Formats: sequence, structure tokens, C-alpha cells
Amino acid sequence: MRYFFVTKGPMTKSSGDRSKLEIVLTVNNKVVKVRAHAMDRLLDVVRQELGLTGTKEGCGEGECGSCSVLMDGVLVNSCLIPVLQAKGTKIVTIEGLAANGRVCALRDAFLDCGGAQCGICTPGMILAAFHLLKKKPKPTAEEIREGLSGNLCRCTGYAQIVEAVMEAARRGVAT
Amino acid sequence: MTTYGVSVDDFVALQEVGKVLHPVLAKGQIVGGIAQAIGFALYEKVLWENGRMLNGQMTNYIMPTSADLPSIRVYFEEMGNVHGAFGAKGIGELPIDGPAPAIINAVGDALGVSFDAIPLLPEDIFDALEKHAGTACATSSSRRGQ
Repeated sequence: MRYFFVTKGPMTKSSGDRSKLEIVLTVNNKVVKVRAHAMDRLLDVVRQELGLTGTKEGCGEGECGSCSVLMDGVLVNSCLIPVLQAKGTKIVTIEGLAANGRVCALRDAFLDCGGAQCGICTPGMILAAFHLLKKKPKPTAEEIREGLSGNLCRCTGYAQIVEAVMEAARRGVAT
Repeated sequence: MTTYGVSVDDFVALQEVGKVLHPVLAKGQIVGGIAQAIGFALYEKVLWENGRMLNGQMTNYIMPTSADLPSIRVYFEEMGNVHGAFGAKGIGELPIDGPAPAIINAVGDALGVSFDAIPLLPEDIFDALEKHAGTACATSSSRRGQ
């Protein structure tokens, strides 16, 4: 047994399976039942169990916001949420927003204003922008900068992201 | 002057790019490069130990957020380029060169102390000003004599 001491090896797998829990949550308006360890990250459950790979992992420590999802309407870093904490909650990922016609306007504003370059921050940015516009349908540039400050972007320098959110607000995304 | 922190309140960039083929994308490249350069100038310090980066996490390697950056105004000089497609030049790497020296020199100009390294952190400014005050005291008598 070459992999005997390796945590993810075959010997630990069965005991690992036994300690998994059945967790029911609503993801993008669909009730789903997943089997996972209590401390598995919501990020991994969403990406690997549910196959919703639009949610990205950036830093994995809650600094960059790439893995942002909405949990009961609150913007959270899914890398910091143990899946048990998400039990019974309503999760919205970027795929859920994409199915919402109004959010397509937010996406279009990002496209028109150059709000995306490499794209890894974009799903989180759009969720953060949507969350901001829900609270403040007509934000100032400063409010946008503050509202998106939990989402890091290396490419754009944020200027065109701020423009995109302004433009989306003008087009009435959240109203 | 109590925190020795530096923030960039405004940034104007003039970039010679040959010919702008796509105004939105070209501006995005310039603004993005400036944002990285502001990070290099004021925040991003790599610490090494035995060939490894000590602060290889977003928690301790600080890069600018949207709240840290000013509005950045971009202007283009289009002089054409006979070698490029439709007169264009590559622009991806250009905008990152100028801002850090410009910011460091602006701080130097404001404080009367010159700096020659990035990133320029509050502790670096504090040290430089302390040292400057020390030498200013030591040389004040000789200056008075001139």
C-alpha cells in the first residue's frame, strides 16, 4: 500500500465517505442534495459536486473575491464558507445570475466598457456589482470603488470596471 | 505627515502607441499597467528567505484594490509605426515603466529627500526623513558658515 499514509489515498477514502453528511441547499433556485464533509469549502462543492465552474478560486484565503457567491442575498467568499454553514441557504452563483435577463445587461456593460481582461475576477466582480446595485441602484464612482474593494483585479486597474457598473446603473440593471 | 502613507490622488498618462486600433481595449491596457505600477511603487514588497518568497499570499503581499487607486486619465499620441499592422505598436508592457519613478520622484519633490528604490513604504519614508533630519542638524552649522 504505497499510499497508505497519504490522506487522500484509498485507505482513508471509505472512512472519509462515512463521515460525509447529506446537506440540502438551494443553488440557483434549484434544491440540491450533496454529500460532503462538514468543513468542505462551499467553493469546492459548487465547482466539483455541482459542476458550476463559473465560480473561480483565486487566493483561497478570502482576500481576492474571485470565489464570490450570494448566500441568502449576502455576498460571501465561498472559499471561507464550510458547506455545513450553507445548509438550508439559498446560494446564487454566476450561472444563476446569467439566467437572469437583467444581469445580462450588467454583463453587456462589462463587455462594452472593457471591464474584463483576463476574466478570472469577472464572475466575482459581476456578483459584487449586482449586490451593490441591489443596495444602491445609482451609486457614485466612490461608492462603486468601495463596494468592489473586496474583489481584486490585476489587469484592468478597475477604472473600466467602475465605468461598467456606472453604465449598468444607468441602464437600470437592478431596478 | 502623521502616518507617512502616500496615496495617488490623480494620474494623467500620455502614451505614444503608434495607432490606436481599439480605443476601449487600448485604454484598458494603459490603465491596468498604471495600476500595477502604482502597486509596485507604494505597496508590493517581496520578502525573500532562502530563495523562497516569505509573503506569497494576498494577505501579506498587498496589491491595490479599487479603493486604493485614483481615477486615471489616459491620452494617446498617435505617430504611426511603419512596421506595425495599420500603424500599431505593442502596448501591453509600456505603461508600467513610467509611473513608479514618477510617484517616487513626486514624493521626493514634496519632502525634499530623494528616493531610489521601490516599493516606497511608510517606514522607508520615516527612515529617510529621520536620517535627513539627522544630517541636516549635523551640517546646519557648516551651512550657516557659508
